[in-house]
Amino acid sequence: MHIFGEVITNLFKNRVLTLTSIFSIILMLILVGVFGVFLLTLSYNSEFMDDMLEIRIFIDPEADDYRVSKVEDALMEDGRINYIAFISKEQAFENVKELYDEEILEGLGSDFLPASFTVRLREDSDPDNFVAFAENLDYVYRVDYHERSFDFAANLSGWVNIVAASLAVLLGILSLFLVSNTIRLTMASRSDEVVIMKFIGATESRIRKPFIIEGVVIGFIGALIASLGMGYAYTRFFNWFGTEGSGELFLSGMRLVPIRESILMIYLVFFGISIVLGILASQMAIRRHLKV
Amino acid sequence: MINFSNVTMVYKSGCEALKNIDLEIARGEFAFVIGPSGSGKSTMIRLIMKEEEPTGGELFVNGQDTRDIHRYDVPFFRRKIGVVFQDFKLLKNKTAYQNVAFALRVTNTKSRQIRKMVPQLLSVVGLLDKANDYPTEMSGGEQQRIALARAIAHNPDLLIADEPTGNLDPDTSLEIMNLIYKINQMGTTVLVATHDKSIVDAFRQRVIVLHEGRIVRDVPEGRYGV
Repeated sequence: MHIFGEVITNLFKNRVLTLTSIFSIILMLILVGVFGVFLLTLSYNSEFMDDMLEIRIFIDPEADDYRVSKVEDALMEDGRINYIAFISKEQAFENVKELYDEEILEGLGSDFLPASFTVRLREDSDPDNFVAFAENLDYVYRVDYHERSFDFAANLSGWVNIVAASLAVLLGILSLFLVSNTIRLTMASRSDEVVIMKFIGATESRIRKPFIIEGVVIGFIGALIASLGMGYAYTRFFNWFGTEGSGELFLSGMRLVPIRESILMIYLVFFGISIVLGILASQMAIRRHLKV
Repeated sequence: MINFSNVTMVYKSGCEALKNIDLEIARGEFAFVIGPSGSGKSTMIRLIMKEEEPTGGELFVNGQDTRDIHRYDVPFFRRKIGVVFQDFKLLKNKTAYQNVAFALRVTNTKSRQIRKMVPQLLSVVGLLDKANDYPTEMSGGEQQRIALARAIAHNPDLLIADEPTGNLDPDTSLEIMNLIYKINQMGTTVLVATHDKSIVDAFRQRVIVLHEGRIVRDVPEGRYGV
């Protein structure tokens, strides 16, 4: 128990460097956190978007009911379809009327609009392959396959990944050196004690223990502050997104990972990273400056 | 207890600190090692403590070849050796009691045991009444007594005193040497490295004289200059 007291005293003695170390850890963790939430959201969305991906098959407006039913039969025979819905010319016209003023549509009948099928595929089937098949059917004149905004986000994630990951790694290295230097200062101020411990027969691990605890404590404080900050920020963002935010972002149709799932994950990662970092930093300081 | 057999020590800098030393110190013996600065006294102590390994020859301490002691066993080996220094090496932010307790605590002695042992050790060195004083509040002689209490905390087989009276006046020096002699009488082998002519002459114990890394004289019941 008294070791913790000593560690806290030492941290306070070297408070400028201690605070700098903690700050650098917080910065790194927040970066990791934002980046992590982004990735988590993408993977979360890719899961549910896969079942939502719809293929729309438009029928030539010239085609009569018999030909439409021929297309339907061909589609129904295909094993890959999970769900199919028919939208007739009249229904399509009704849908359009909801979107536009009646005046614009005045004088137009339902005839100019094509009938269509909306299809969802089974999970294991390849949509591109199916699209090619549908396009080759008689009287099909267009096939739409919406990959939606998800595609954009996924592309974006490519370079965001690289930038964020390299920044996080750089900050990680910086934190490592800062924490290691903080511990080095403590070692310098306690060199007498280390010498005495050596000749009274303290084991290596006993001599190192306070320095390793110091690293872990720095990491722990950093993780605690970063977790509280990140938890608060994500909760705020989640609530805002749920009300007006989603419409303002280009990612409309995206869903956020529920707070409980994402935050727990972030906390685990934060504490894991920073405690490992604290231990590594003290090992670094010990290896270079504490010859036992 | 200590057995140097043709021991040579050459530091990486090329400095030849000990040359072909043959020396045996029996269990329970009291011996002075004297000689000018740079004669090899400190190197001898460093080798016995296994802070360094001899570059030639063999050194047995307490029946063990020091080269065979594994790195992880060195702390346990050192617990059987008590050491005191010229500058006492006490922790200034700890009281007399805490300084002695520290030696026991870092070697995982149980708290109950520590509470029992520290007062006993302090009374052996005659400073039970100074238990709560800090080193800065004590005289040099008192600080050296605390250091001695700490050195014998693990009931060592060997006590090494490296210039124990170097910072003390003649009367206090004699008191400290009497205490060290008392520890020897209780069965601990004692090795005292010193420059102090008066204490060597007063005690008439074995004297080993080092000069430029060689033993030039080794007499039982010797004097400093003769």
